[in-house]
Amino acid sequence: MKSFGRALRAGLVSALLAWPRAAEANGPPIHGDTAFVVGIEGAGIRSFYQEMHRGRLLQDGKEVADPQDREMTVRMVPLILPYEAIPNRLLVVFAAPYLDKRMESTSGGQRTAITNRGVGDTTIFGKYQFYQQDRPGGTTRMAGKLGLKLPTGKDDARDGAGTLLAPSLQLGSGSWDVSGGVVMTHLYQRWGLNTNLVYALNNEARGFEKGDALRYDLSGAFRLLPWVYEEYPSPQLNLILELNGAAAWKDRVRGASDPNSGGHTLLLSPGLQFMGGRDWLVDVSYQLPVVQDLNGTQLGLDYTWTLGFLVYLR
Amino acid sequence: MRMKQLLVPLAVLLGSAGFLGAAGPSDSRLVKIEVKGLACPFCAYGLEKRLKETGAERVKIYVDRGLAEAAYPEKRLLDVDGLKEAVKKGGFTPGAIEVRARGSLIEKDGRWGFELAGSGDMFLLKDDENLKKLLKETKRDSVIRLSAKVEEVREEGHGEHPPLLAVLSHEILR
Repeated sequence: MKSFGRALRAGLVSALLAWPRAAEANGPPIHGDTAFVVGIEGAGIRSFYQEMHRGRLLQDGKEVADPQDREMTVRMVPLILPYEAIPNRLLVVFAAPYLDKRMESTSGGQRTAITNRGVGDTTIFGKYQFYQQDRPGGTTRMAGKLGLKLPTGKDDARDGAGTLLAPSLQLGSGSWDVSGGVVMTHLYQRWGLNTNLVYALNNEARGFEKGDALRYDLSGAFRLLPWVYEEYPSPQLNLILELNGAAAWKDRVRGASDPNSGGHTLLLSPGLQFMGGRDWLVDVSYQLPVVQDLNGTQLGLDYTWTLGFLVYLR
Repeated sequence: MRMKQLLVPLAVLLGSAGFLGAAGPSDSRLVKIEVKGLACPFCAYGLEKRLKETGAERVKIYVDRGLAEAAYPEKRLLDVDGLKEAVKKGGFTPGAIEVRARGSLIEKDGRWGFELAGSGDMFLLKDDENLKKLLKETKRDSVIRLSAKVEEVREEGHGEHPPLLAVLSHEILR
């Protein structure tokens, strides 16, 4: 049971890496971030339904047969609330997810499932815009980000036999973690380019320390409709294509490095975004891994899909 | 005589209606602001909100033209600095500002100014060819609708002066 738990932890802990990134997706682009701290960024409630599926066992980056036929599904619905603390300068964002984690595996010819549902770790982060260069029809902006993840999610869930679940199946990490990075946005007429680089510094709790991670996102957006944007507000359809990457260091279990953890993942994420006017938008995105260079033996990501919305607060 | 008394206010009303079609109620004052950086409709919400906070009755934002229009009641003072600050707080950089307002010409200390109807605030007019043309075509007590560009004046050693209005076009109302 102990080795099973470790294998799960080693194979699935990278799933957690997706959470902070997704939680910070507080507007266009869908998964990455924007340097904007006003408009939709500063006045809307953001949430989405995200489903992530892992079912391929990878060994040194190559798919191998899994005798336990493990499959993990993580469903997440976060609540993201921004507050424009200093107009056009500082945005403070509160994000809390509801998580539903399910791990299925086969042992002794019997298929079993472990599930864990509830509120996960809360993240509070500030985004400070330090550069803004506006011109007719375009703008370039840069912002710095600093985040704090609070251990609000339960991290001591146990299975029916009373064994502590692997960290990847827990709702929270139990640790206080910090992250920091930069975001750049360049918009010109119907085109948009967003890129961000965020380093997550993770700490230890219950003898487990998730490896630090460097996340990077590159997002291109193209306004399909209306072809000529006359008067605001107008229904609008955007085509979005993102590259979402994460390079994670190995986890540490009671001080020792775990060889079956960490690695580099790059996802290709096409998406569509529809704005119905000034009050709301919906977006949908499908993420497919194009690079999964994971250390040791881990469960690889099959796909993620996201259906989100944003509603303005007035 | 009676007919004339009826026709004059009617003409004023119809004259206002043309302006109104684009801007708002007949006693509105229209301000157009060039908004630099306005490339994303999703961030125009903040701009609209900030402009409404300046007392605008109605705000229109033209994304592809990078332009915002705000209609104000005439009784409200024309606060150019407040407008620019609203655009900045909305997340953008203000550019050229144009105003279309009803009022009359006044002469003070040898310079011509424009007194806005309703609020009574006064702006000096830029001494150029358009002003000369305006003075030729209007009488001192005429009520006109003036379209003008707001110009900041900065003189070496004297800092910033109250903005001037540079006449673009005019319409004689009475």
